[in-house]
Amino acid sequence: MQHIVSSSNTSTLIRVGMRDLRRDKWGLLGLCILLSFVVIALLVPYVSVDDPWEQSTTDIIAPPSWNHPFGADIYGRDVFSRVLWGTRVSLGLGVLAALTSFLVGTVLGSFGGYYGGFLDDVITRFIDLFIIIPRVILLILVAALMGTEVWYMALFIGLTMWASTARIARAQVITFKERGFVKAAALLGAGDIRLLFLHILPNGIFPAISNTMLQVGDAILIEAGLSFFGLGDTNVASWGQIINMGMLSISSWWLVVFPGAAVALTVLAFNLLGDSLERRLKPRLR
Amino acid sequence: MALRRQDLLLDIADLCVVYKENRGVLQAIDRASLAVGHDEVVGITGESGCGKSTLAASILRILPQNAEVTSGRILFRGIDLRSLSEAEMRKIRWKQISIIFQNAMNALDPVYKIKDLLKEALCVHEGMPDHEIEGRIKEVLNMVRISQSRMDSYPHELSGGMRQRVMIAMASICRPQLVIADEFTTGLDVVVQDQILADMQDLRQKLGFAMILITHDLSVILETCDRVAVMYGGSILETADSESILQDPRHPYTRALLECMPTIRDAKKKLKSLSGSPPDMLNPPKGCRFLARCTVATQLCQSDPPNLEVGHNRYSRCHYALEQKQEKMRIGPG
Repeated sequence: MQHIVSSSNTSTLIRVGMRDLRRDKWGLLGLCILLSFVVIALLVPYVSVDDPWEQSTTDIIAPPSWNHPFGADIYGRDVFSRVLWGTRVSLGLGVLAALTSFLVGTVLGSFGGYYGGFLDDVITRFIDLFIIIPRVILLILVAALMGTEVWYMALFIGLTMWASTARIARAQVITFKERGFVKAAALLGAGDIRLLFLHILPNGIFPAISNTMLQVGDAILIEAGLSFFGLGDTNVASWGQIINMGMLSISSWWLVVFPGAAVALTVLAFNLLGDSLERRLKPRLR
Repeated sequence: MALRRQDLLLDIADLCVVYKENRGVLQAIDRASLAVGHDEVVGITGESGCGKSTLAASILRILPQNAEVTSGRILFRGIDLRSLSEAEMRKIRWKQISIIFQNAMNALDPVYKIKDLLKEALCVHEGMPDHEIEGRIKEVLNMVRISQSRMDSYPHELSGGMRQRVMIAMASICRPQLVIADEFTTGLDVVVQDQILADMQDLRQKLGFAMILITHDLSVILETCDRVAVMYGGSILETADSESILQDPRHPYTRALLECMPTIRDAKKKLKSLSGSPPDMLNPPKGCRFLARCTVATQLCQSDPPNLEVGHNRYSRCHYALEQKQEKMRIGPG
């Protein structure tokens, strides 16, 4: 057990993590893809690409060309610049959704695991409830009731994903709260909150973090799926929205392939990175 | 050393602790009495499961939830710890009575540096300015002979002996009056064990705290402790100063313990092991706890033995403790 614990060490963790990552080619690939998307998202306002909303009557459903590398959609809008701008929306949405899920899941799961008893029973039933409700049905309902504003969508997608994180966090807290150093800290006079947030979670949170990584990709996929059904925010150029537009002209492959490739690449990147994190942080898979 | 009542730092009298198990009520500690004077080192020894650690946990009131102290008192500097509220107890715990745990690796949080661990041990209790904290940490690390360059290390970067030293530093940083060391050298090799015990004595003299040393290693006890309490099946069978217990044990169990300890002078001596197993504490036997394994037991032993004062500050729970013919108590043809 000793070297397992010692590997989950905050600042040496980053050092060790980077060292291991260099050997982990798939994880490194994931990181590279992700970093390029982040760079695109950050730089796109400063690069002279076409206005993603500018319509052109001459370029309607134009196939890829020098002028429009990814072609143009049914309004003559440049798909290349729409995909680039869509990076901001889709990445932001994925991260926001996953963060929401992480926060809600960690807090609920760890409180349930730490205090046990009735509170744990209630929280566990609540987790079960969210696991059995089909996510897409719930989101369709939410979209119908609350509208489809993209950041709300992100929030609600996050609120349908927290159950798995909560289960992981709960299990981790239950394992770690019995450990000697937690008992020792309690003996020193540390209170519940201090024990939970300064001793238990810093040791046991890593599986929840790698799960959250995977969820970023999930959230992007869910949004794309909802947009495909026409339940997305039509005021933003998310990748899902661009694909949805492609439905209107099914023979124009470029309307679906490029944004679809962007979705696939991002999800792949987060999965590679999440798996790699899990491999390196979850002791049993080492 | 004469122990008058007012000299006592800790005075445990007739302590009974039970564990409520599914199978029934387990009598973990039965009428244990133990006194610790200022500056005194008292050893508690006995085989696994005899109640050593339970006794320690009941002093600090950190017994598991299913445990209950049914009677007795634990006076610490004249205050009955049993009567204190949890908040009052928290002020005594660690600050006045601290504990060194059995397994240092498990007791040190792996995500914190040594200095942060020591800081927490100090800060939870005392509002202190930063530079003073820093000074205290350096001072205490110095005392346990850990180089200051190790302050920024994590527990896993230290060896077992160093971790135990850090643990000792944590236990003494608040300047407690009593330190309970529960099997704190177990798992270390003999050389390191010896160094740590020696350093511990130095530290004790510098800071002037009393100590309860719990171990099943009799040699550690005889080397370090002023007095020894021998536990068996939840009761303290014999209490005496280390020298007398080695020369003249007054309980058959103590005698048996000493006979299974190798000596350096008599290498050819065969070590004896005691047959049988300790009593089932769910259904403790009537009379003497040691009855089933005692080779000198008689009819009289079916009744509860009194805690006889067999000498100056010496007690033994054996009907025959005062008997002149000590040979009678010797186990086997020895």
